[in-house]
Amino acid sequence: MGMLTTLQDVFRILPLRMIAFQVLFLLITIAIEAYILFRFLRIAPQKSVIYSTAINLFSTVIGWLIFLNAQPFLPDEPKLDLINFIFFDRLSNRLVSWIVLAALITFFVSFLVKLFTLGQLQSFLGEQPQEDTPQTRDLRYSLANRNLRGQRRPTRQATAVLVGNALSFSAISLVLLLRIFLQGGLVSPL
Amino acid sequence: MNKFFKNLFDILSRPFKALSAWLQQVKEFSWQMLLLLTVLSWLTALVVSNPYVREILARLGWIFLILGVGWALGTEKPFKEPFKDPIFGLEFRIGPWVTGALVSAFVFYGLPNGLALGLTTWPLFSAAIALIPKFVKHKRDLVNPFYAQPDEKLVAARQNMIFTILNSILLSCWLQFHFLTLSWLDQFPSLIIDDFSRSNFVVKLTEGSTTSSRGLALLNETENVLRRELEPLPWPAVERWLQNIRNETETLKAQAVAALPTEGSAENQLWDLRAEVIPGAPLYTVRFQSWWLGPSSKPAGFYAEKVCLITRSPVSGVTGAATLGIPSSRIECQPAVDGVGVR
Repeated sequence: MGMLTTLQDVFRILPLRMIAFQVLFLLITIAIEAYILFRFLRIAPQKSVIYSTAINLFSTVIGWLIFLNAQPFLPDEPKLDLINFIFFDRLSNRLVSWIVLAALITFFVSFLVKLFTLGQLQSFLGEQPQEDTPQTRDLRYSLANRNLRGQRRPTRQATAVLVGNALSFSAISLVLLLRIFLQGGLVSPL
Repeated sequence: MNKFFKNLFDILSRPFKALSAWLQQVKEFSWQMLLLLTVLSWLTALVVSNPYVREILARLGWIFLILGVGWALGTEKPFKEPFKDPIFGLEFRIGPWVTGALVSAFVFYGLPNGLALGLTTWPLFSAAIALIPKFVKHKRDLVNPFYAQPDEKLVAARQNMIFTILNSILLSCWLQFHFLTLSWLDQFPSLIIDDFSRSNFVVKLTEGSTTSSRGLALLNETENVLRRELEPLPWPAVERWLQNIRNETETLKAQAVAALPTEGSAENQLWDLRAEVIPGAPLYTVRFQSWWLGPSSKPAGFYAEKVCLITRSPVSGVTGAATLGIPSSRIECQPAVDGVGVR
């Protein structure tokens, strides 16, 4: 980090757009995943919003910490690509490959992180484990409910988180495509 | 006469009487006492001459200030009640933020990079301070993962704790990203003059002046190097050199770059010096261009250029001129200007 001599230096550029985008994406993701938790796991609406917010904030924070700690080790060329992308929205072919790879890894890693966190959170916040009484067992196996409710609880939870993750990733991709379209297409690559 | 002085004395002593009355009712164990200790420490620090003792007293005063302000903002009426949000039970009080800012300032003031470190850790300190009352109330059970059946109050407190910590880490990450982008601007100062309107991340708030462009400085230094190089040469050598100028740009650039300021020198390898003799213009009109090859909003980068006219000096034919040290070439250069990057 360089020497910041005056308070003026701090305000040369501000990451306002990044903050706006991140808040937008978080809201979309939280809404979608909360709804999925509510539908698939039958968690009360308020609690599902709380769970969804907590796991999404947590995975966002993990993502940030990985990025901020890995970027000093970036060699010169990718670093210039990154600066080009962040400051001027210009993509090089190499950067596009990295972004695609990162998106795939992020999807699966965030799924695992969210699943693990949800489990921990439920016990931490005192959610009672569902009792398996004869009535609930019958309910589980009744024909009408076969598809999802027949699964045991951990599998059901994994399905819910996976579906939620997939839907929220898709929603965010749509928003990004919309943004590219509104901006008049991508700038000619390097 | 006596009465006048008596009245004057009464009026003047009124604030002192009020002050002493107030001082007498300050309880020993209160935030007011802590603030008084602060004032005492700082006053003593002003008087003392030994720099070490002064430093210790100043730091002690800061600690008292932090404790006093933290206490005051945590227990006094207008600040005690949090602004509660209905969904998450998040409580927002101004106290921890102020106290956290003071702690950050205290820890990082004067250190190199202090502003960046202080700002990025400020949310973390505030979160820790905000969680102190919760820990006092619930003690270790707050984070004990084996506590079997947490009751409702504990659950609410745990929820609050989780969101407080996560939000503060997120804010800290945002601040770190901000300082990361600023560090890029420090490493490559010429970036500031570019167009940031397409960025999805940042907004530019100050206009960098084009005179800060390192490319202009490079061209000006190139002119100096040119004069140094060509002055001692006789005219035929100058002509040969000029005709070969394309191959000379490397050495020209290396010498010019040596004279540039070291701050922002990471940019040096990203500036490309190009020179050509303009065909069709009076001999020898040389156009120097410095092209920016680094990150830029324009696909081909942007450049600055300087045009120089190098002609044979009128005295060069006269014998003895060389021994007098008169240069055989005359160099006139126009000031360097920004070019417009073209595809």
